[in-house]
Amino acid sequence: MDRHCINIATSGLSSKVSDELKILIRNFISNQYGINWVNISSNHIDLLLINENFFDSDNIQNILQKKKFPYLKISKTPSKNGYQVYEHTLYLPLEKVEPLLEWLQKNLLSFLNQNSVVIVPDLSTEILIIDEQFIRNLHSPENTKLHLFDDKGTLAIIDNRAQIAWIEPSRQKAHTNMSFNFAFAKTSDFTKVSRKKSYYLQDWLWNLIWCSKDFENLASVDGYFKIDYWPQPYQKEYRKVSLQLSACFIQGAKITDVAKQLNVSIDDVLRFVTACVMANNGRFVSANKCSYAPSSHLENSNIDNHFLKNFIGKIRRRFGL
Amino acid sequence: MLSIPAQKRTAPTQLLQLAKSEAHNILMNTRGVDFVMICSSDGFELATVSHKNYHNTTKLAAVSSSILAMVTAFLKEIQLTGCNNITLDADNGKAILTAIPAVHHPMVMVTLSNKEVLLGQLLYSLKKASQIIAEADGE
Amino acid sequence: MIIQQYKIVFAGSMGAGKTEAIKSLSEIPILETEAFNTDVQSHQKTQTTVGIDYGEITLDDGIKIGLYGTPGQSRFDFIWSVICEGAIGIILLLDHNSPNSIDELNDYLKTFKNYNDNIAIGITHIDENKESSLQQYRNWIKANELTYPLFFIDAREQEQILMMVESLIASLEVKVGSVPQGNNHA
Repeated sequence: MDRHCINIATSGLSSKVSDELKILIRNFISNQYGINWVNISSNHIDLLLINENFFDSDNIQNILQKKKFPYLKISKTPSKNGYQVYEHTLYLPLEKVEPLLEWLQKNLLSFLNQNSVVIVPDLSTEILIIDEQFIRNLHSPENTKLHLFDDKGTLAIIDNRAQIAWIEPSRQKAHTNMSFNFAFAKTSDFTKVSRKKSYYLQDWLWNLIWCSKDFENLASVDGYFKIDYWPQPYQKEYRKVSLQLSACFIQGAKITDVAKQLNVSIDDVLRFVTACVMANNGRFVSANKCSYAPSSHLENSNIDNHFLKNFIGKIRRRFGL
Repeated sequence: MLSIPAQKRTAPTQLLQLAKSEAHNILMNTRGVDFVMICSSDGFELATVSHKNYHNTTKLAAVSSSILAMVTAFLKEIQLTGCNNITLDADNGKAILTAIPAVHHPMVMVTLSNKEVLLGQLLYSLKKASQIIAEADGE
Repeated sequence: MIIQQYKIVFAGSMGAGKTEAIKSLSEIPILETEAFNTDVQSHQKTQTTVGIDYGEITLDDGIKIGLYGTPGQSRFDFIWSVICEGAIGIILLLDHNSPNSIDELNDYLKTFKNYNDNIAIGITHIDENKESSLQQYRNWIKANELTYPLFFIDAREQEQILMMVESLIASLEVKVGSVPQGNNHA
């Protein structure tokens, strides 16, 4: 698989500014390139974003002399002539993004397109199989700090002992695909993620995989599955279906029964199960370990149940659920 | 809003002694009264004087504070003001819950009596006692 | 299952955010039954619920659902059983900042599941205690083979309280097989 990845270094920027710029740049170029956020000492840099006060230091000047790459100085004071970007300086606050994007197109992307650089970060070139061993290693408490990444670059660094994830700020509402992989986190990897906010690992991982429609299904249609706990949905859009699926699978249930009873597509059910498997929540079980039983038509037309259904419908409408 | 330091949340000994003394006066001077308890408004028993043994005064303190709080909320809804007393009239006795609106240490007084008690006299005594305790807390 | 009175009960430890949760949902200003807190060992806050807090929401045909907040301390347990009778469900809130949060969770569940088995658990104040892992709660749920939903929330955030309410509803729906046709796909 060809992976086009560029290395962007930041230096001397506050985490707020750094995160803002990362999200912007990621959104602009993510279709064409993956991004690695590196620091100034990295061997290969495609673009440097640097605090203007640091620019003239000997160290930086030496690096720029040796390796000629485009750079953008970040200034906190608005420019006198009112430009957002002028020559090699970006003036904050960022009121319009177009000047920055134009600058990136001209000074970075067109340059890269000419060279057709293909950078492969240290990923295995073996075909990746996501199997039980992979998942076991992903969650092993002995593998304390892992760097999670895919073909678009870093996703997060996770700590299996503390059960937290620090995520790459431009991939907050992330999804991934079968290039998903992990390795032991190096010191340099920590600069790629934001340590301001940590996420509870199991829930973050579940939401990541649930949102990843290109992630291959790890469940078989005729299986029975039981979860250990209800995963916490982050977005309102899929909260309802996630909670209903949880209510079934917490009891242990047959996948096809759940799809039929809840009137949810089998794909969505399989995706739910896949996300749970990847988050190390639950396991495939035998039928006798399941207590979910879809109710019959007869039970459905019982008067009390009918009243209850009506009532629940009203509550949902009231809250917009 | 000035927050009261934690160690001053509980009523000082002096105030409690005064409250107990007032409770004792009511018990001794009002015929028919069997039991008087002072509690914090959040339901902790602070002092009890009685002729009879009542079990579970701890629970009684909690229930009393709950009732008074709910009645206070109810009164606010119907916009009745200045009410500090609830009288419960039963076949075999009476119970009166009196709010003591002390500024720093609001309290509740729970009085239990027999059916024959002179209610007017008792309510008057309770009102006076409440005023004395509240004023002492304001100092 | 018949719902006798239309109510959702908010229970759980002192200072966990029950009153705040009701405030975030209620259409009306809530009826509060607070008193001056003298139990600083349990919690530093100045006011604490001693009666029943009451909030309300109205459904589209005029039916009202009462949101009932209970005092957390066990000396008020006489209120719990009365209030929980016939409720749609119980939202149990626990304060992650409390040194005994797992014990509290155990105690509250043991008590409240006798009143109503439709319970959703919310762990609050998670940002205030980063040393203590959140994993302990999910491990506890797993070890005890419990089926209650357990989420990490901010009780002041309406959307997160709605998630708790929705989990109560999802449990009910699955129990009675009452999921309406045309469920939205994610």
